[in-house]
Amino acid sequence: MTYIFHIALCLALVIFQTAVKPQVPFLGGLYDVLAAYIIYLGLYHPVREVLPIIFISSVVMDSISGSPPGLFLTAYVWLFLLTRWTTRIIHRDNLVLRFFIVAVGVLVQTGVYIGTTLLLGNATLFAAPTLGVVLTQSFWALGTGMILLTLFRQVHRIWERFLNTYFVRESAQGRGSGSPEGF
Amino acid sequence: MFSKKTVMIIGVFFLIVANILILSVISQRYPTSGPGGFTISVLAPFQEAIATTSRSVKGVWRHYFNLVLVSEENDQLKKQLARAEELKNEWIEARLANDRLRRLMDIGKGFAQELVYAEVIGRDPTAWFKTVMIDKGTRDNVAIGMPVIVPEGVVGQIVDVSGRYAKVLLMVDQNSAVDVLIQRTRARGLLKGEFADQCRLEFVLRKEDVQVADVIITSGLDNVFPKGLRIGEIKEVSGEATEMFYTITVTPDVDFEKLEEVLVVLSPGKVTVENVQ
Repeated sequence: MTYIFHIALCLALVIFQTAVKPQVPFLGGLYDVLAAYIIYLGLYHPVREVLPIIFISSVVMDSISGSPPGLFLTAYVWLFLLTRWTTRIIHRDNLVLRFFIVAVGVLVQTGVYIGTTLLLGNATLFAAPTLGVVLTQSFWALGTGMILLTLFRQVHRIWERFLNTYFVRESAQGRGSGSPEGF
Repeated sequence: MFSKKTVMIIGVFFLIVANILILSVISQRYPTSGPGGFTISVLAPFQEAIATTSRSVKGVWRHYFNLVLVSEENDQLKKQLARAEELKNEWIEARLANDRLRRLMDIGKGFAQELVYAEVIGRDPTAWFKTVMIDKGTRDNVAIGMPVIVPEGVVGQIVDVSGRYAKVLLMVDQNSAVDVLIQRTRARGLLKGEFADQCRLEFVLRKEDVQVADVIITSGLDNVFPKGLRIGEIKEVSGEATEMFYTITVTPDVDFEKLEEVLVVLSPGKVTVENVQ
């Protein structure tokens, strides 16, 4: 159920980015919010739970984007690893960390993109518009990163509460009454 | 001498007569002063106050009900206005869509090959790559490599396709390349996408005459885009005199941020555009 929840949320974010965001003019400079979700997963969820989600969301993003295949997988894996590594040094609930981590993640993601572009032999990314996009995305990330992390966490808590209320209780009742469905 | 009853009757009779006499005397004059005037001057202010208050209360009450009615009417009118605005917006959208479709049909008349109309349903999730998703796929005979155009010119080409959808690599993506001609001089070059919705024209020899505002068209030599489709204009020409090729920046005519409907050319190849532009 948790995997379904994560995948559904990832798909919702992808749809938001591809179909909703282009329709809202002031959201034009918004960063990849799926990257923020990967950072959230890296902060608060175990590796075995996160890795399949990273793989699936990367495949989805690679499929619908014009990026070279595997670019999103590379970017998301790096984001996840760096987030994990950061939480070994700084506590994951540290306010400063939560404020900056999405912006840093956006910069890392951009670094991966630019590195890949350089590898592919196209150096035109180092143009003035590139800097503008990076700055805009970073400011967006500074402004909304912590809010998004909190939002993701709250949504996940609501989901877990829902699961505990309906599924765990039902199965407990099932066990209590000796119903075979409880097992 | 008289019985009690008789005395009572006579008494009542005299009282009535006296009363009539007093009334007849008093009624002959209308007192404007004295005790009557005093009474009036004392009572009238209270009467006036009560009457005014009563009128005010009635007025407030009446206005309150009026306001309630007006408020309800206002709500209804607002709903009607909102609906009218909605209808107006729908009408404007329909008119704009009609104009766009008419232009798409006009461009279709210039083509010998079949075109498929498609709507843009999604865009690339990042700012770094330039692709759009369209609502036509293999079921509509759309295949990888087919060119995508709009009345303003070239949009890009199909790079991925599923049953009902396809992904279009826009001409301004850094992975895109189109074989082109400078319309005035027929000089040939390769147009590559750049980051900021503009293109870079490469491999144009310095011996060629190239000027700002020269129009760029497709050459048709890449076997993807029909020959003669307009792409854009030269914005800037630069480069060292010692270099073999110019460094040329091209601004496309298509506004890639506002793409809503496109045409997919189903049978690309060496074809010429007879009537476009």
